[in-house]
Amino acid sequence: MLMSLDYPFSAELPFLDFRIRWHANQQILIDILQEQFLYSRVSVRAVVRDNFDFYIDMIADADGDASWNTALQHRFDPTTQCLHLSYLDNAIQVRVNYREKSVRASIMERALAYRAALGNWVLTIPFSELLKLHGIYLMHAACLVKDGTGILFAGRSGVGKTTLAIGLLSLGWQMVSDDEIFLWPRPKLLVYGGPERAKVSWPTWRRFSYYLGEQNRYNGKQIITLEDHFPDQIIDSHSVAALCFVGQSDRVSISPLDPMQSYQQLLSVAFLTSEPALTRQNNDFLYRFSREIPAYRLQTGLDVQALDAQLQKSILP
Amino acid sequence: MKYVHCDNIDWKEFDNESVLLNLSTGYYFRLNQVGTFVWPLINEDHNIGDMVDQVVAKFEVSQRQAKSDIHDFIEQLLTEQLINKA
Repeated sequence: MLMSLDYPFSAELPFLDFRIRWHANQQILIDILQEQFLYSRVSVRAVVRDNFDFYIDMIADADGDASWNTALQHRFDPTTQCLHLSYLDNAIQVRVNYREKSVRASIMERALAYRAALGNWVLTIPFSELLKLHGIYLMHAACLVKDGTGILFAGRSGVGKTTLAIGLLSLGWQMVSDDEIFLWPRPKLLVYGGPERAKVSWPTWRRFSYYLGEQNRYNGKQIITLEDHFPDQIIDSHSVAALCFVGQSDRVSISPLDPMQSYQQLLSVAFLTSEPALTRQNNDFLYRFSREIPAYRLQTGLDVQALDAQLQKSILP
Repeated sequence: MKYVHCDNIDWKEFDNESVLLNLSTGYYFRLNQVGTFVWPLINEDHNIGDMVDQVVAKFEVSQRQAKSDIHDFIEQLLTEQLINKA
C-alpha cells in the first residue's frame, strides 16, 4: 500500500534526549505536524539517546466523506515486529516498526480536514510506542506542582484538564504539562512534559482572560504557549506524589481510590495497543503505579480557589 | 475437560479482585473474589470438578450453584479468548 517516494521536506525535533526526524512528501504535512505536534523540549539531563524516523506520504484521493468511522483499528504482526494502525476508515494508515525504530504513515488528502488530530495519530501515538522501548509511557494527564509536590490530573479529552491547569497556574502553581505527560519510572518516577503549548477553548479563555489577554469569541480551540503567560511557572520535569482522575461537577470534591480502582482508571487512560511484550511491560508499570502512588477521584467545579483549597487540604503534605 | 490460560494474557491481582488484560487487543476484564480464586486453578492439573470442589470448600455456596457459576465463567473466558481447551 505504501509507495516508495522521495521525501523532499524534512524536519528534526528534539524531545528529551531523543531526536525525531520526520520526512514528508508535502510541505503542507510538515506545516500541520509542526503546528500540532508540540513537543520540542530538550532534556535537562542526558539519560537516553536515540533516533526515531517518521516517513510520511500524502496520497491523493477522491472526494472526502465527512461521516467517517473514527475508531482506531490495529493489528500487530509478530513476524515483522510491526504494529499496523488505521484511522478514519483507512484514510490514515500507520506502521510502527519496533526493530527499525521507524514509522511509516500514509495519509489521504481528505484526512487533512482532521488537522487538529493528525499530530496525535501520526506522531504522538506512534512516538509513544517507540518510547516504550525505553520504558517510558505516555499518559493523557496534566501535571501541576505545588510547594514541591507533583500531582497528575488524568482524564479524557474535554474533561477540563487545561482549564484546571490554567486555573492553578493563576494561583501560583507550577506546571509540567496540561494534557499529555511522559512517565519515566527509573530511577524514580518522573514526569516529563508534554506539550509546550495548550489548546484552549473559548469558555476557558474568557474565564482566564485576565491572564491570557482579551480575545474575540472563536469556535474550536486556539493553541497558545502557556510559558508566555506564566513565564516562571513552566518546568521540564518533576516527581509524582499523587494522581487524580478528573470529572466535572457543580462543586469540588475529592475522594480516595483503592489500588484496584486506580489501576482500572489507569488502564482506561493508557494506550495499550502495542507489541504484546511491551504491553506486558506497560501493564506491570501501571500495576506498580496503582499500588505506590495515592489516587483520588476529583470532581472539579468552577471555583478554582475552592479546588486549590481542597487539594491543599486532602493531598498536599 | 481441562483448560489452560492463553499465552497473551496478563493477570494482576489485588485484594480479593483481579484484572485480566488481553495483551493483543488491549481489552481487560475484572474478576470478582470467586473469579480471582478460580483463575489460578485453570491449568492442566484441574478439571471443572476440581474447581467446583475447591470453590465449595472456600466459599459458602452449594455444589450445584458453584458448578453452574464455574461453567458460565469458563464459557465466558473461552468466548473472550482468555483460555483454551487443554
